[in-house]
Amino acid sequence: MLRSNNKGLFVDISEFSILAARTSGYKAPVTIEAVSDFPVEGDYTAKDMRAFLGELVDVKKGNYAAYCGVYPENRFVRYHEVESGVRLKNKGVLRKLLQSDLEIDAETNSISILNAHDGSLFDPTRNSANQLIFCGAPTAVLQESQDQIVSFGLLPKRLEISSIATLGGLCNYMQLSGFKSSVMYVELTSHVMHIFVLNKGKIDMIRSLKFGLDSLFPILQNELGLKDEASAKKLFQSNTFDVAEIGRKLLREVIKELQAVSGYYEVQTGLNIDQIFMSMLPTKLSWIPSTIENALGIDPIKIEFDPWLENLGIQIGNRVDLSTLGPKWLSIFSLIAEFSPKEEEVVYE
Amino acid sequence: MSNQGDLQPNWHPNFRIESTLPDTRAIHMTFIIKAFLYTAVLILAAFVLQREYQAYLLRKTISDLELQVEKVSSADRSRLQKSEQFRKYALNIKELQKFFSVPLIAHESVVELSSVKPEDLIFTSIALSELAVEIKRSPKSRPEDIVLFKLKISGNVQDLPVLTQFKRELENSQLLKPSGYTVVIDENIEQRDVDTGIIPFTLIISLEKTGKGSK
Repeated sequence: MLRSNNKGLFVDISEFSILAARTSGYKAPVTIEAVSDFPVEGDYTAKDMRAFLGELVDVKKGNYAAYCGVYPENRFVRYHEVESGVRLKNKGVLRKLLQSDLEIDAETNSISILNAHDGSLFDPTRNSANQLIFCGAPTAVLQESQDQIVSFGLLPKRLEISSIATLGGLCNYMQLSGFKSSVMYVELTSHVMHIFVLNKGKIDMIRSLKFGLDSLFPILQNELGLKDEASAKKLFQSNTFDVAEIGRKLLREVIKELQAVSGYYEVQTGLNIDQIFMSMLPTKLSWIPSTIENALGIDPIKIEFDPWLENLGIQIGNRVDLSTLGPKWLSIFSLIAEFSPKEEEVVYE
Repeated sequence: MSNQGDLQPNWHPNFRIESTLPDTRAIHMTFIIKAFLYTAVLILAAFVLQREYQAYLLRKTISDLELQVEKVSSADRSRLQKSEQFRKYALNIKELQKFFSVPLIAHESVVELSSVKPEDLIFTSIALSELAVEIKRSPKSRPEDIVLFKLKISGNVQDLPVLTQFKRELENSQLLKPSGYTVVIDENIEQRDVDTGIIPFTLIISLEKTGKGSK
């Protein structure tokens, strides 16, 4: 039986850490009562997770209703402009678009189409917006994620791709903070790198590259003359790895891609990218954002959670000290937040 | 594609796969089916157990009774022997009762006859007999077995009026008024003996039990 719990639970599961937040409930106004971070150092079991989550809520009986965000492998986020959104009412046209232009197999993937300007669900029968975001992941991978969450003693009330929620959170933060310049948001994980360029809280560009942290290991192996990639990976993940000398060499490809995106964007729009935001990465990999920032010569965004959350109507409990929380927490706060666009920003045609 | 509801909040597409989530309805359908099956199995098991228990009780009772029978069989045999003996004695007693239930008792009859006998009449013989005869009361009726008691009195008289008086006395006497019997008197008077001048006679008094099927 689904346990009707008064306390809300939000969980963000990435390959680097599992973030959890207990809230006063799910209905506004919500108060974040407690947050907890489970750094993923190696393999962990469902029992470990139950123990971790058990510090926030009682998950012993299982099926604890929770809002969950995951980063499924082979997830995709595509920005696409169509001539007319209304045409997508025709399933044949939509299928052709997915297969030919976006290379997304509709049979094996779970897909959601959002309006790029506000992240709302695209409904071709009700509006004809032509700037769309196609996001999703292979259904089988989502199923694995869902099964894993259930094994933690949770019942996902929502299963979201955290990349999308975080993207929405950053857009909202930029809108509420009155950002005038363009921002590059980089989500770098083991297998893939998503690059989002935002301007005034709206998405201008999305690039996805099958180039992630795993691609750095062969470079590290060559640079240090290690015997295999496994040794490189082990060294890379250790806390003692000093990258001062070779950090830039390792990230050469990443930086090259980011510069290409930045250059292309500037040529296309005539706008400069002044700031960068990198989420998810753990503290021991903090050299990556700093190396990239230095290489690109742009400043990082320092998210000020307090005023932002207050603006969203989310209150902070006494036990939570936001000043100690780094940028990776944007993902779970974005899961908690409900983003309502300002009236004048809603474009319905 | 994922099924998205109209109320999906911005930037929060839900990729939850509903069909594979644990059943969280207040009362699970599987629970109902299982409960029904378990109840049916329990009822069946209870029924079988109850029948088995009854069978066990019956077997126990049978075995107890057999033990009891075994225990009392020797006593029973002795009782059966006594019963057989008793039955034999009962037959004798019935015979005796039958004997004692005759309407005419020999010595009492003789005393009664003597008391009503005139002086001028002498008895030459008195015989009391019990006869079983088969009679048909009508041509179409079935034959019946009846018991007849016959009192045969033979004697001599000088004069017939004496005999007539004797008969009258006899008819009035208690001897021929036994309860439940009809009395028939036949008389046979012979010729007066020329030499002695006496008349021999024979009275045959038949007593038949009244009522159908009397034996």
